[in-house]
Amino acid sequence: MSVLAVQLERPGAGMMELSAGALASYAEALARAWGVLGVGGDDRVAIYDYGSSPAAYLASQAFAPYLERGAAERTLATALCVDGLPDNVKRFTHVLRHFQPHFVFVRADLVPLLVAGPTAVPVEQRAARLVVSADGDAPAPGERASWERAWQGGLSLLARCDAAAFVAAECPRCRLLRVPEELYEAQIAPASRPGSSDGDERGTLTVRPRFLDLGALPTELSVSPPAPGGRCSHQGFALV
Amino acid sequence: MTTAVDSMPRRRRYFDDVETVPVERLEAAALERLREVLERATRLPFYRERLAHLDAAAIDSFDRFAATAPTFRKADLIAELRRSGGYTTGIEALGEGGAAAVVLTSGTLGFPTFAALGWGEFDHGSPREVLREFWMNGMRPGMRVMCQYPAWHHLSMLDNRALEWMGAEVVCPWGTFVPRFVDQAIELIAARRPEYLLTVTTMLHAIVEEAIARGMDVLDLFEPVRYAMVAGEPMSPGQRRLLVELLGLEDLFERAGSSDGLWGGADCPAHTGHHVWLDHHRVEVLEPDTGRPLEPGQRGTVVVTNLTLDRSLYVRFDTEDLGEIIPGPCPCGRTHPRVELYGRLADCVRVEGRLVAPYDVRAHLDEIPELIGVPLVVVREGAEMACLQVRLDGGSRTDGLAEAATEHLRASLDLPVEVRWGGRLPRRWKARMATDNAPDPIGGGKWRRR
Repeated sequence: MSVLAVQLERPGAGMMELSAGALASYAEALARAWGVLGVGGDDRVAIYDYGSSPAAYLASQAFAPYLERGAAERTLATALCVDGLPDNVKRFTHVLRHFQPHFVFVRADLVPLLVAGPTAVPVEQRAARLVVSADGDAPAPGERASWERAWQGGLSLLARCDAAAFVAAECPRCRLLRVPEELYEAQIAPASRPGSSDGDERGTLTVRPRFLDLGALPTELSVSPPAPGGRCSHQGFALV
Repeated sequence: MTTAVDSMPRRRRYFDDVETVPVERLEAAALERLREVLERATRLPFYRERLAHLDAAAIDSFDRFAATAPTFRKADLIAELRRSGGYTTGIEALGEGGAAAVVLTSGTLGFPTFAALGWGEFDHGSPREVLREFWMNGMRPGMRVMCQYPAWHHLSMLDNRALEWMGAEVVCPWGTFVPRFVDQAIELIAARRPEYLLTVTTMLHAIVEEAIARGMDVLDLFEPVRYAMVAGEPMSPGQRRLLVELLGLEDLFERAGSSDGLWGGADCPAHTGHHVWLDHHRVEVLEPDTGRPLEPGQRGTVVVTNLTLDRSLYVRFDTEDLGEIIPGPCPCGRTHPRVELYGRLADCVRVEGRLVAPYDVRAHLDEIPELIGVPLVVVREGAEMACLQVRLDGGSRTDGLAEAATEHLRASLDLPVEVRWGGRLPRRWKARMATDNAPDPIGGGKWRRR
């Protein structure tokens, strides 16, 4: 039975209907992503996003009804959320100065406000790891590279497909997207594999959450097949 | 999933027996809590020196408490925040589990502070207050509730837990509660047909205005909605009546309070002030200039003391909000004090020695049908004024209406008043204060808001 339904960001995309159990599993997925990023005990996490974004409402038991443990409680971190309006950039800078988070999760469309122009965060307050979060496509490589150059604390990606209740993080060491198998069945959409004859198996990541009766849904993430993580022991999808 | 209210008879009028406990017993219990709070407060860095002279065990009345403990203001916390460089200010009375969540407070004075909420606060603290308010105002288990601000605000955190305990089905529109997200809210109301709305006053107006602009039948859109509870700004009785009628609601309730001080309360169906639960907060009203305690029915600055722990603890926090404690018993039968808030003290003008809030002007002018919702500003021409100056939105100009408004305000406030048409003002219900150094609105100039 649905206890919480959250409207999806994309116009006409409908609602994400969650039972208490599904909400818990979805929060576990976010917690796994936080873990991949290195969030751990006593870390402070600041989120600059709308309260209706899963990057926010799954972050703490305080942020959503019927959520017994959010990502913060699961990783023993402390979370603070700033409403994702561009007008709040000064409030968020204030949070960086005083709350001194170890990790900041920011909507992709807000990142330019933090790294350039009159609202840019002072350099000395760019020490936290910046985790860019978006429902859908990852930032373009050039854009991402410019943000990385501008932000001292390093940058990672929190990949989301909200319609599929999917959330996963890119490993900061090997940059592979780590999808927890217990929570998602992930594959590359066969129809979108280009150039199969030359062995290129890149395509669109398709996921089926094991905790919801949604079926397999395509994300907008272009990936190459799972591969060993180089410096890391795990496997993951490389965003391409 | 079982919830706290599963066994509650739906027709039960009061959620907690404590809501109707005789005042004397209520105050005795609150005093006991106050001593516990003070005992803890005296060991917190922010209060250690401020309350060094105070023997918590010797506080035998709220009068003695008021005479012994000093007040403090947000500026004091800001100074402490600047000094510490971190987010704590030394008022955090947390349990062993530490902070379950940290929130930014309001941006008054242009500088938010931070408040910490402990695990005990979520498990048996202020969400209980909110649960009482929900029950008091018609929410029942299984209702579908639209909640517009799920994650980041202090009140939303309390709502989340209370909604869960209530066993409500919660639906959240995308975005947040500013008018640019009105499309999402309308879509959600139309598609999900909530019975209850938790939102802010400006958003409710925006939904109505957008629905009308689209040619929608507002009554049809709101047909499933039985109740709404709004926060964010004081709502005049005329404004509430209009919205109830326009939306076909059974009732519309208002929440007041602040994340500065972590306190608040909702009005009940009698709509005669906001019940502030005395087992959670003690409210005083003081004369703003002297700090002299005022009697119920007298307006002054509202001072709050929290009576529960495991949270940032505010002891005699001067909110700098203009308010009063409503005298006499509430028709609803609840014995907890009722507080009415009229706005920020900084937004008030002083006319012939009396503080007048923009809300006062709004509320009285909403009694004239042609002026309901017409944007207006109250002009401050100095620290002390001989005549209340009001400017109405020039786009709403109607012959004779400014004169009628002047007469009505004179009679209602018993003060010298001049109401004139000004330039065009932004569309908003809330009356604002403008300073005397702003260009004359008759010239269509830009007003500087405080």
